[in-house]
Amino acid sequence: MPELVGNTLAGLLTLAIFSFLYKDNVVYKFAEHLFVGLAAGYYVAFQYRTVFQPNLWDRLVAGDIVSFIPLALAILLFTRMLPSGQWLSRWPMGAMIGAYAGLQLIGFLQGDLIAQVQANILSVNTGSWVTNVNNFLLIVGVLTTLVYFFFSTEHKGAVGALSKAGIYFLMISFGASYGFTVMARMSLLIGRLEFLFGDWLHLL
Amino acid sequence: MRREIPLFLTIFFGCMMVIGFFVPHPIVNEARSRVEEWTIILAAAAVVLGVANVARIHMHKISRRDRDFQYSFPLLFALFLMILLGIVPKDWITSMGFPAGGTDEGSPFDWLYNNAYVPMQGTMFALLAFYIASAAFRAFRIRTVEAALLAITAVLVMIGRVPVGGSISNWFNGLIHLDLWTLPEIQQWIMDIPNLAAKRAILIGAALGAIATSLKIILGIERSAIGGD
Repeated sequence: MPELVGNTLAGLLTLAIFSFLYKDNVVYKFAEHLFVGLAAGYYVAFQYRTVFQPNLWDRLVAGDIVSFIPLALAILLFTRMLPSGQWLSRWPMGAMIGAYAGLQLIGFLQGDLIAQVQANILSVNTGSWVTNVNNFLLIVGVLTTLVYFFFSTEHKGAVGALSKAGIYFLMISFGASYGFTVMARMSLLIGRLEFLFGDWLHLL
Repeated sequence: MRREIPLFLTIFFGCMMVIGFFVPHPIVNEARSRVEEWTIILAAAAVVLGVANVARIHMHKISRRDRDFQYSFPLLFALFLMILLGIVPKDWITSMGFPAGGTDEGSPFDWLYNNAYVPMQGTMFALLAFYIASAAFRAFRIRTVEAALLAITAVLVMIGRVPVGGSISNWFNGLIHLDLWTLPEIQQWIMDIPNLAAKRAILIGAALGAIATSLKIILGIERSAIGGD
């Protein structure tokens, strides 16, 4: 019974969202607002269960006095909603921005910059001509694309030619990303249609 | 007070993260993990603040009888219902005959998530399949080499990722009695080589930018986010 009710609710809400293909209408607007409410509520409840309860509430109950610091900072964040005293919300904002800046500094350095440069130091003498060509293209592609993003020198002459090659690599990448996104959306669409005609209406 | 304390907190929290990474001393690591936990709590509080702001805006909309205010009712109803189901003690929910409470599998919260949130989210993204295709049809004009490269790559990736792409290639290879690359293979090569090269360069550039910005924030040079110049 709960499965039937659930499938019916999911089917009706799916149709309500699809109704936007005809035009912006009352049913779509209702479903859209319902979705925003559900999403917002979901994130609050999720944060409560995964963050506030284990990291703050349980510790405060256990007598951890230090946990009053994040509690105080979290409360200060809500001064943003007050008519006066909004400047107090800059304290937790400052703490958050500083922490994320520190995390990003390490994360990008270790996870992206070093890893990507390391991954692109490739041999062009592997014994297989296909691998050699591919490795050469990877090296040239990365370097020329970086040249395109280097704006300290005017893109003229040799730099201009390299930057032009970089644009070609970027265009191929944008085209691939576009095609990939379209196909991802298509598979989602097929998934929804499969649900509507299979799981819900049992026509498939 | 208004500028100095936020700046001090920014520098302190930022430095704690960096120092904690480089100094393997247990006290430093403990302090770093504490600061990290506080940041997670603050980020969660920021989510709650954002949602509280959404609720406030819609309550104002209802009280002022603004245009389309009726739609704020389902939004607020869904919002409070989801929060209520998610945060009330689990045993309250189970005592009502439900198999689980809180956000656990089988709870009413989980039921709403699976039967309302997930289908609507999937359908919202699926809608983009229509709009992304019609936008491309209207916007793509192959007038330059760059535009041609973009369009050809997009078509190859799209055809190469569906079974019909493989069938077309097999049919063509059979017709000319050759063993050329199939469309799925070409698509995979595009993703693995030229696409990866450009993505890698973008990642390197973005990482350099993020590192520079982070350093400016930690050193107190960039203060716009905390009310400075």
